[in-house]
Amino acid sequence: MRRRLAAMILTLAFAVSATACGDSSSTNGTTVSSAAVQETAGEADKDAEAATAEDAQEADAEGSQEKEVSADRPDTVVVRIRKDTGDLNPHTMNSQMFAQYWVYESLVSLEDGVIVPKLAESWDISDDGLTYTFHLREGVTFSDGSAFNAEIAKKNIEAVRNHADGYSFLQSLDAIDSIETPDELTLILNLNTPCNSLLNDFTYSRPLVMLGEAGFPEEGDPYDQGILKPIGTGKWVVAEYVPDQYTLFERNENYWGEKPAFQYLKAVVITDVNTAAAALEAGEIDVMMDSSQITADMFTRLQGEGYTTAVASTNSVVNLNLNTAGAVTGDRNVRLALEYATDNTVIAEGVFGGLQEPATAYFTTDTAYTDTGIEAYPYDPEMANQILEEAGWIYEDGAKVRSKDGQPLEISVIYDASVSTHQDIALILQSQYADIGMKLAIEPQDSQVFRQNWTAGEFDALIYSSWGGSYEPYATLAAMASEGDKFSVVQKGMSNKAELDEIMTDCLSQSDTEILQQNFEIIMQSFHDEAVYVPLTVTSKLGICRSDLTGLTATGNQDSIDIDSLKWAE
Amino acid sequence: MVKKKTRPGWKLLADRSVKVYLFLLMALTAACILAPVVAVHDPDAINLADKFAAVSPAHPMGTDYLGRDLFARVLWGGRNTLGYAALITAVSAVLGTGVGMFCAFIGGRVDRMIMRGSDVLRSFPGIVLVMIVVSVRGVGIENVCLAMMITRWIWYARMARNLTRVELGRSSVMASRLAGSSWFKILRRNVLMSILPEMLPTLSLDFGGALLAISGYSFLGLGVLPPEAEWGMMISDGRSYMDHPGMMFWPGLCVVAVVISVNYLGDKIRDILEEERL
Repeated sequence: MRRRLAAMILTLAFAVSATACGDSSSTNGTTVSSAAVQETAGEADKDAEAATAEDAQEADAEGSQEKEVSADRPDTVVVRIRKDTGDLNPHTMNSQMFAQYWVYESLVSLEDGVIVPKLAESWDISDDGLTYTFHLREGVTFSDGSAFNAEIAKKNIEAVRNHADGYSFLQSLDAIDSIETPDELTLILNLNTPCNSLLNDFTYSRPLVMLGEAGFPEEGDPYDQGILKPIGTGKWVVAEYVPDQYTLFERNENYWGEKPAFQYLKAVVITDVNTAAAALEAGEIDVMMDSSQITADMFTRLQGEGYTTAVASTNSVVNLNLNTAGAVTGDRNVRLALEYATDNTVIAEGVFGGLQEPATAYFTTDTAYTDTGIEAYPYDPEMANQILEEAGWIYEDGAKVRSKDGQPLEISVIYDASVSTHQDIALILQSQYADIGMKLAIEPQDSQVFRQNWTAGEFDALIYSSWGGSYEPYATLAAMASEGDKFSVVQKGMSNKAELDEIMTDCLSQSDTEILQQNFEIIMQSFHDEAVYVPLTVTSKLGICRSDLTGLTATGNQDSIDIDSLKWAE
Repeated sequence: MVKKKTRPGWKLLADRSVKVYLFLLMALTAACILAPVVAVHDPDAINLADKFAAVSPAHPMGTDYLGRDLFARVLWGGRNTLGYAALITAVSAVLGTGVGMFCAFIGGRVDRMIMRGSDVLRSFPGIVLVMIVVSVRGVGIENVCLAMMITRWIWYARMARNLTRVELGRSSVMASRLAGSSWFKILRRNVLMSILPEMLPTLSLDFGGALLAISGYSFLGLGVLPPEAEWGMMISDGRSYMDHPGMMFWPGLCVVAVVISVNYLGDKIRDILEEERL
């Protein structure tokens, strides 16, 4: 017995000492564990930063192993990313948008719904809307030191135009007739038809962003031949890329504007949001930010624990899209009843803890031309019941679900299973629709299957967050007016679909703002009258970071991860 | 005085732990079967005003993030979890035993072909097979069950085959044959009755394995579809609400209780059979 006790004490002592060794700094002090980093503050941080600045230079010389080590130091901010950043080819759609924003820039950008200068300091638009003259920023260089000028801008735009079919959402590519570069800092785009979305098209994270000369393949375009190097004018430069694990970015010391406070940015792939939250609490990551995965409960819990948080309302709307050509939802009365039976305030509060506002239409009210004053349908289940009764959907033989001519009032809702909140929305809708005698089956689907079924029209209803950002409203209208596009499939059964397509297409090039406003009024009225979309909530972007970091801001761009102004607290 | 031989069943019940585990298993199963009577609340009824309610007489296990009664969901979820695990185990056992006995009886090339085929099937990792079936036929508990049955019967087939071969070699079988019994009757009465007790521990252990697998697949979102309750899915839902551990604790406790119970019972049955054999 005594021997057994001694053995247990020895084992315990060994375990404790092993754990203690694991937690402490190792070898020559260059490896600082993330837990230790979180504990250090004030002077200790400054010392560590001074030490790591020298170490970082050595790390660059000594290869990838050492670079990984440097990523855990205080001059590195570690950000959780949901998916691998990709190869960062700026002319294809395969990389993550937030990473493309970090590395590349375009002529203009979108901030709070307003187009502001970026690589172009200013621009002039001719009265007929056919000539756009961009005055480029002086003194801008790519991360490899080469100069940014009108020629390289032209080369990028031409490379994208060569593959216009690959970017159906960019209306400007067809509109651009020729490109002129009268001098180094002037870029003129001559259009063959006015294009309202042209400036918007230059605010996307891709493909109309600027790749440095050294990034272009020797033959062909980046779109089909890939890039040699991710050379941009953005704030960050790719230092190391380990697919599906992490990407290490280094501050672009040639950046023309205000540089980030951190020297390194390590973007670590953690797919599951709960694992990410645990990693944040364990000090393995410093920041997490997204608009679809962080739940309200997680956000408020971490906020309560003292983590720094940020919220920003985006212009993306979570909508219930109703298939106007569906077997049951093809009946306008059913769609109208769904509008009245949906209480989106419950969703905003119950699912999003009040962090998202109830939506009133497919577009947010600050989207250009779309706020036409149309009132959203109020929550009125009695009205919904009345509409269904009058339309012949009745309860037969004490059934809980209505039916009409033997067809039960049953529909299914599909959604991308990777968006956890969409399941909660579906469950609440299921409960609300049960009150009007409708059975809602819930079908979570794999992202790819979800899109396939949507495009094929094989759904009754689907939950989807609108594109938001620069896509609204023109790129969305272009998709809606494009036959065969999934956005168009939803509207297939609308009584005025053909007329609506013409109006939406006209919006893309209409230069008369009065006519443009009238067009939007018809579009928004049609969506409302035909009850195509049940607006649910306005998406919010949520950010959480450790408490000793300041400067966490969330912009309204749902595709970006905003870490540029982060720095250690004093 | 000749000591009366105790029957294996009584020997099993003489163990106090067996009684406890058996009671636990039976009580839980009965509660799940009687869920419509025992659970007052609708397991799918959402009541956001009551979300994360604490344990109370009205909600013996509290409520979840949508205000659904956890007690009702655990009981109704148990019907799914236990029911599907039992279904998979039963189908696999019947199919596997039948195939195994057939192979042992036929022998020769057919036996070798079926056994090699089953080896190939067995080499597929279960999760991969489930993924393939789900990607072809869609997400749903019935597809998960189908995929699980495809591989699970093989254990029983191999075991039944080996045991049947041993039984067929016994003189009692030869005696029955000489007495004019048909092969079918011999297989049914002599062989099957002899090998069944031997297969009981496997059946019990496999039930625990099937339950864990079903819960695991539902945890990954491949099994039961919302809003239906299932223990694995309930644990998965609870992951996002770590500060409300009840969401994970109660279904997790049920899974642990059932798996430990059936595993212990399986082990005990095997031990007693071993003793009997000796």
